[in-house]
Amino acid sequence: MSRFNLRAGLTIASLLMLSTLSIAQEGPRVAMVTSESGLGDRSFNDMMVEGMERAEADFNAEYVVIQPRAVSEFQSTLARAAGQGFDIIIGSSFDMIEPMRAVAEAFPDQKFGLVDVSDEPVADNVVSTVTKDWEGSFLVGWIAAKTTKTGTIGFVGGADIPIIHRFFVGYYYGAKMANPEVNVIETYTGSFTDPAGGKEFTLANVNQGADINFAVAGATSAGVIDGAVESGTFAIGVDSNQNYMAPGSVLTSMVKRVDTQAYDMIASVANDSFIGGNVLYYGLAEDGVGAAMDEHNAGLIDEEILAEVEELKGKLLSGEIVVPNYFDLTPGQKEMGTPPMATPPSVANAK
Amino acid sequence: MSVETLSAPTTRPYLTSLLSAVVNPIMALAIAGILGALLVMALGENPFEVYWLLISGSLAGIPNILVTLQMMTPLLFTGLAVAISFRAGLANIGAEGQMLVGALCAGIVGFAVDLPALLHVPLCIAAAFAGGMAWAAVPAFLRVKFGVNELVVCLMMNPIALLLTGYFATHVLKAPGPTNKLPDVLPSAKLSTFSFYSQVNTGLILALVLCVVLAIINARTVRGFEWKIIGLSPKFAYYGGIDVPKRALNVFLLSGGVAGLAGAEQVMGQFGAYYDNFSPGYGFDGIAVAMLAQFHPIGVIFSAFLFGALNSGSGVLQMMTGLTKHLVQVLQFIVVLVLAAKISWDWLTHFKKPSEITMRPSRSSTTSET
Amino acid sequence: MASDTSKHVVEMRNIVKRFGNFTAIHNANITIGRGEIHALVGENGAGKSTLMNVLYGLLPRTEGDVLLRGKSVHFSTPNDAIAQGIGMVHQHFKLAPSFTVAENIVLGAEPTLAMGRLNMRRAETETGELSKRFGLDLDPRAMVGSLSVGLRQRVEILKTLYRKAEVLVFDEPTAVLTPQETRELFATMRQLAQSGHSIIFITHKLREVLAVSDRISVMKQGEIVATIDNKDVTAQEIASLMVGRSVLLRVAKDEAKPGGRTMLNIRNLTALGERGENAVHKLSLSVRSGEIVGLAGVQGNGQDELVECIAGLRQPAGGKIEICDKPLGATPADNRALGLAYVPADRGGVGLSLQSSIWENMTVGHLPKFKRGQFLSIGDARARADELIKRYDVRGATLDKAAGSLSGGNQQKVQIARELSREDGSLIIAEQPSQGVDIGAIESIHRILVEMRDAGKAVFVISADLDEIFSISDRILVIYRGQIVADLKASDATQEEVGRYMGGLETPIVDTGASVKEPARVC
Repeated sequence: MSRFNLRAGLTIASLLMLSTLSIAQEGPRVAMVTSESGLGDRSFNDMMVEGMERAEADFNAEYVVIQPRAVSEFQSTLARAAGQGFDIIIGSSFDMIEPMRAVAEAFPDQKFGLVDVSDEPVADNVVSTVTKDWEGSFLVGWIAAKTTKTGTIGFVGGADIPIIHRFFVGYYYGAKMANPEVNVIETYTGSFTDPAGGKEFTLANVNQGADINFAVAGATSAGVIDGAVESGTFAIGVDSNQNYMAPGSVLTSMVKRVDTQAYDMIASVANDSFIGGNVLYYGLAEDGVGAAMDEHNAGLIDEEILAEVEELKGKLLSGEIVVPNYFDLTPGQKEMGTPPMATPPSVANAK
Repeated sequence: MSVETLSAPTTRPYLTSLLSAVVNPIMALAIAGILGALLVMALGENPFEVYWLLISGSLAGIPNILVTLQMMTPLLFTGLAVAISFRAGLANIGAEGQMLVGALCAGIVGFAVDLPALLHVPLCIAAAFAGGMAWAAVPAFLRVKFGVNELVVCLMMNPIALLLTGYFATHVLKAPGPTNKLPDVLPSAKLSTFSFYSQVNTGLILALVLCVVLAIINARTVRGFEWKIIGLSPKFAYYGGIDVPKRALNVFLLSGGVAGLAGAEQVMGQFGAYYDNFSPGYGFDGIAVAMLAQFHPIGVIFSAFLFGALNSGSGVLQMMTGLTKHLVQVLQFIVVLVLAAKISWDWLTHFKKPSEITMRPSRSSTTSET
Repeated sequence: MASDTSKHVVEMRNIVKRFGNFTAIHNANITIGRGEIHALVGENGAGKSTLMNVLYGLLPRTEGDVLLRGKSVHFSTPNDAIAQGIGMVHQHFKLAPSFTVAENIVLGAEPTLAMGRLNMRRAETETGELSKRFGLDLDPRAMVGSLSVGLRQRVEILKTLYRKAEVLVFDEPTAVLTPQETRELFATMRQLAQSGHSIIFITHKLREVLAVSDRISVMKQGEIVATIDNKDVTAQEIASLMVGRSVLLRVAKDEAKPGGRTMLNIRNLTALGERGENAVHKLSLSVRSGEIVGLAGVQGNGQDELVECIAGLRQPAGGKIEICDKPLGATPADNRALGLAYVPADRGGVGLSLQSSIWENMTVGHLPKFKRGQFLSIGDARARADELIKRYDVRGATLDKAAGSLSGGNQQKVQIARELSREDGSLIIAEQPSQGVDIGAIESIHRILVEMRDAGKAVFVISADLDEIFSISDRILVIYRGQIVADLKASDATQEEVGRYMGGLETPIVDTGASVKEPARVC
């Protein structure tokens, strides 16, 4: 009986919806479900909208943005969207993994996309992407080691957890490749929402000689940038382009191109090449990561270094360099990557 | 004859107060609806279509209704909490903070204590009530003992609650993983949900029962009568033999406890764990809900349903148009503004009759001219 | 005082004012001559204020004409009226206490320099000149908050004169004044009239009407029932016109038969006033069952503090109070339990909740009686309130009407009904029982108090109105500087004698020490 009611309700609702649509669209209809922080975050949510806009231009896609106000609204939002005849529903939040799995299983014909949160398949009709953030971290680590005047660089992580270790290992690998003598300080603030703590840790690193600090700490990163401004050193931003936050003090940002990932998901629907139940990795080759260069950090990095970065990218694409993924390492492992180099002490000494 | 005078009076005041609790808000909503329509037109959309989407998106079909109920539930608790205190003349605008602390308490007891569900659920609810009450105790005590303005204290307690709960969720008791949250509550502490489409849970029933109980207390008991008199004229109440400080303290604590229950419902029913900064402002929305309800507990049911429906309809509106969630928020704000304007108007027209109100001659008039 | 009434400054013709179905003013006609003091008298609710609000532009009239200097005028706001030379001196002053006299007077019509800057010097000199011209002595730089009520009223008067008012409406101006201040006000009114101003004087105190006015218009139930020359009328006649029947100004009562029991016993009571001064200083008094004791005194000599101490609304600083042989309780609730029934002067603030319904107002203080477990027997409470409305003849009252919608006299009846209907009440404190109450109601209130006395209760009346004190008291106490300075048998005392005690002129020489506050001085 309840099943019948659900159907009936959905039918009525979709009829209502259809009646409001003006003209039949040729392109795919896309729903983007934001994380609870919503639009205007100058981060993932806003970047994904950029991908939507590109897809609108290229495939005549029609997209809407749905902004749940809380994590508790994810499942109901996805479920109701699933009844509206969208060609694909795209979301991005760690807290959306379980709701999307539940809804995807209940609507096997609906296509879903989950951007940059799950490295395991979610459901048969969900395509999941993972950014090879270790490759991006490698690039900025390399740039930092080439740019440092003191020979010491820092890393400020939000929490001492594997997903953040993955950034550190890439950063460490890149730094050591640029300069085997460089000293890399590894610190974790313990919070992703603690700018004051981020600043403390940054200044502590600066006291130990680090003149560049890579912030991988969500909202705590703002404090890392503050610390850089205050101490006259550099910070490196993360996730989205944070160069604008303190022009002249942010050396670059390790950008995850979630816009590209969302765009590709829509493209796969438009081209009928959507394959669910898998995980797609976005590294340099897929234009999924990068070191952001814009007017806010112009001139901070030497031209020669930038030229060498392009060379480095070529080696990555050809497979000459393979940046190690922390998740492939085992505790106590001594060497990593291609070409092989020593693992950081935190891995080498782990049990 | 005597039968008539006894039976007629008992029903009438109840009905009239209930009626006035319904009629005035409808006027406010009508005005808000017209202003909102103008706004929608200014945005280049068809207001009829937008309103139709809001209504159908919240009421057409079981999924939409269930989402409405889900979004209504926290507002029932916070709206009721605010209504209880305002009716007694205490401006508890700290429901947000009390809810957060209540939620944290429920979240801790929910994962840290292992008990059979029959005991675990009540214990978590009690913990949330106690947490909300404890947080309300600060403004309540300062107000009653020292006459400190509770508005200011509540406003300061809200961000403190957010930071304190945040400290627990990001440092002290953080669950492993990228999200700032406590570990999931044990299954024995979960409130049952009914549908895949919505997180609406048995907490809704608790909220509705509370509203009815409070309505009965307000209308029928000595306490409810005393609260009302205190709210309208504390000096008169004290003179009339009502223990005003004690009652005021109790009402404030009760209000805080009920706000804490909003947190229990969120953690045990909707989220399954304490999430840092989980609330999109249920405590503040509760103020609007209570105002729209004119602080009547039954009115709270209607106005919380309305706000829940607007939020639920907002989801569908976003799916079907290019409009953002902010439109619905603006519509809600317009309702509040119209109500606020109405309340100030009442105040002006009611009290601006100097000749009607007798005042004692000024006491500072002890010196006289020669 | 000769007045030129042939030339009317103001003429109100056939004024009708309706509020919905209710007609507040029926066909009122009134003329005010140049230089005339015209008293407008009537019971509360007779329509005096409504009629004046129509004149002043606060209320639009339903029908009729207002002629100012022979020309028909239509004021939609008080500002229109002010611009045409009509000023109102409100009963409740509309002044900013933290501003100086000059600032208050020019507020809204400030003299300015270039660029809109306030010309404070001119404001002060103009204020000074104005106050001198009308004999209203005031320091333009004094802070209004520091002034006595009488002086504040002068500021109000000057405010209207500054705006060149020719017609001044005084709305119950003496309600807040001491007898001395009242006399000075009357002198001012006469001087204003002599200088060509017309004055409309709203009141219900008949002695004042006869003392100051040229002509008297009597209002009753929205109509002007008579306009009479002062010299042709007596107080008794005006009172009859107001209430439509002959009023006894002195309550008929038997000789008091005080019982042996002391219901209120105060010994060496000391209480601090708002500024920490000894408002009540080592005061002793007692009230026995079966007598009415009146406390006379100029406002501000400690009456308020004394009463608040007895009622449990203020903590005494020393001494003891006993109610029915038991020490005073800690809260008003305790004192009620001891048998205290208290009718406060501050009806709107303390004695009633104006927004609450009448039945609720009548139920507060009687809650234990209607408690059934945790529940309130609303049916019983309402039935009793209904009975009280009838027994105490509260006019215009229905159970669910807000107390604030009643006239002052009927509000007072609600308070009195609630307090005096207590079976266990054996000590009755009535503070200003007839303040703002019309004559008909005063009489019935006094009669109720006498009935209470005859039933063996102790009645303690605090009043600023000597007529009232003499009308009902068996014994008269006079308070001066926080102490009782006279204890007189009412039948032997004269008003003059009591007045002398009130003024401190016959103070038994008891030096009460340095901390005694500055008293109200009467010349």
